[in-house]
Amino acid sequence: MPHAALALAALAVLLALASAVVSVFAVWVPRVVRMLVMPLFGLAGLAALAAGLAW
Amino acid sequence: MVSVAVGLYGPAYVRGFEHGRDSLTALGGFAGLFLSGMLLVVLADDAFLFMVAWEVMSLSSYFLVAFQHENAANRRAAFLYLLMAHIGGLAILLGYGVLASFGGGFAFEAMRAAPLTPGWASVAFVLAFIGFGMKAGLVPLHAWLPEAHPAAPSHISALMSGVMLKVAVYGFIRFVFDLLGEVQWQWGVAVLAIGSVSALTGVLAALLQTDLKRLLAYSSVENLGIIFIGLGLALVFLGTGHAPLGTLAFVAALYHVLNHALFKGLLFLGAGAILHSTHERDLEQMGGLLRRMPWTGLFFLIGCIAIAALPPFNGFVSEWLTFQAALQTWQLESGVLRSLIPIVSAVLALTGALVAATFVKVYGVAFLGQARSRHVRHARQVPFGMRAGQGWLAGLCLLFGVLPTAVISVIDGVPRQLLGAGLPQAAAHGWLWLTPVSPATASYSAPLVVVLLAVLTALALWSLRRGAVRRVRRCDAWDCGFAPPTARMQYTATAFAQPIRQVFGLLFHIEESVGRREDGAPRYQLSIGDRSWDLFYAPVMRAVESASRRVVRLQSGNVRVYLGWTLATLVLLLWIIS
Repeated sequence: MPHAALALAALAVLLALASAVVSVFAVWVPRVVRMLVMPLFGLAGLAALAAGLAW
Repeated sequence: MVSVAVGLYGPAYVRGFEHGRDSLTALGGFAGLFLSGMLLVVLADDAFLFMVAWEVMSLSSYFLVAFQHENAANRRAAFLYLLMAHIGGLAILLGYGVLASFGGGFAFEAMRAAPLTPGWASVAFVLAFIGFGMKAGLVPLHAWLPEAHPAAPSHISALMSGVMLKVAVYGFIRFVFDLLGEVQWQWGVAVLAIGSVSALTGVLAALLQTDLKRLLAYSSVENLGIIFIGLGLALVFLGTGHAPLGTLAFVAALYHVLNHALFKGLLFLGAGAILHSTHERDLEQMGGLLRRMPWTGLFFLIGCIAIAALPPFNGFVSEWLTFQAALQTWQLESGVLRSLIPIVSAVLALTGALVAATFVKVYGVAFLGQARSRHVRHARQVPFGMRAGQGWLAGLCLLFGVLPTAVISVIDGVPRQLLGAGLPQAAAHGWLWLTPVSPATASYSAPLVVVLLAVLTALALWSLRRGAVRRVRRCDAWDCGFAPPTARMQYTATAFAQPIRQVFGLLFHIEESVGRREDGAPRYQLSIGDRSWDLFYAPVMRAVESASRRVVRLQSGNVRVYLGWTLATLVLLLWIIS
């Protein structure tokens, strides 16, 4: 797998995990950060798509 | 692609679940873990990481299915899903165990080099087929799917159907085409048989449903059947030494994997938009939604055309490629295979017709005519984000249908890596013409079809405007003397499926009841059960119950008896070890 694709795939996993983490700590984070849960999820998908195309 | 749509669609949709911070914490947290698990499965390079990621995916999706746990049916669906996901996981683990014992390690590299005997290779194949087939929802291992998908929130259903089922297909491909090495054509026959049964029974069950999300879930069983028909053809062709044809069938299956993710994701998001706006999943309560939700109506129509495999959308290309592969059966030497595969082609053709009937029913009953309930009468357009998510997938359905040569050039890397050859002839005559076998055999130009359709539409509009229809007289339609038509006079979803129910009724457990005349308001009630429950699951449940009744006798409540059993177990283990 080319390095760029691997890096993008890792970014996708990190973004998906970040979306989960923000959601889990929703009680303590400000509303503006909580609103990032679904956009982060979408960005994870975009990074995964880019990884697939770069592969 | 589906995750991007969910990312756009989700913010507005999840607001409907905002009963408190806890509920959204669970939904967002498990959705993120679910996506991470699915991404890690496809990145894993050894069986250990693969299984850990697989379990993350299965467990997080269990919690998402159980998200609306106040409803007992959702709890039951989630438990059934958890149980079957773990039986499947166990089969996959055992399959990897067979490879690891021959290969000397859990790394995929070691497994590829494993010197497997044909017998052990078949054992590993059967375990993988059961494990991945259970996750993919192949008949008869599909019982969890029509229960779990409707129970989950709709954007999660889109991910489960659009992505998670494809992760199971990925696992099957990785295991069989990559790790097992030399494939055997007999495996292909088994895959073709199960794929055909799944495709036909899946679409028949879908046609008989009135719950929109349940219908879409059964339709996923059918589409996974089509994907496995493609993979089965690839195994047969590769196992009999016809590598180019095997590559064609393999590419057709991969193309359908992408297409199903797009149109089923779109249809589940559409179902979610209807649910969000009307609080209804029952088709019998819908009607006339096109006037109230025009954008959702348009995108849902695109999804229906795509899944019905009509040009110029994407579903047509992959099903056409699957047919092209099946039509090359005459090149096989075996007479048995030459007779069997045309039967599969016939099943595929029948399935295609029934899919069209199913989605004509869905669209006609839900979006056309008049509203059948108060909620539907007051339905309103969904927020922009939800429309954008659907629009993104609808656009991709068109793009994947119009530019098949570009899509094949992207997915061609997979057969080149796994099978050692791609499908160069597909785009040998330029991007305009798709030629899967050779130009003399078959060719399809999606861009030209689009141009033709556009010209025909423009001509029809022009002739209408220029007065080809010279005089338009507007009046009420002849209604046989009845009063103006009401919602109760419309064709219902149940009535639409009645002829098919008469023909294929034996395949299902159908109970009809009409209330007695002396009842104040007699109602027609119909229940459609899955025969696989009676044939496969009920006997297993009875056996487990009977075994449990015997085992429970050990639980006497006497400590001395328990110590005795412990001692006996220790002695037995020491005897086995020695």
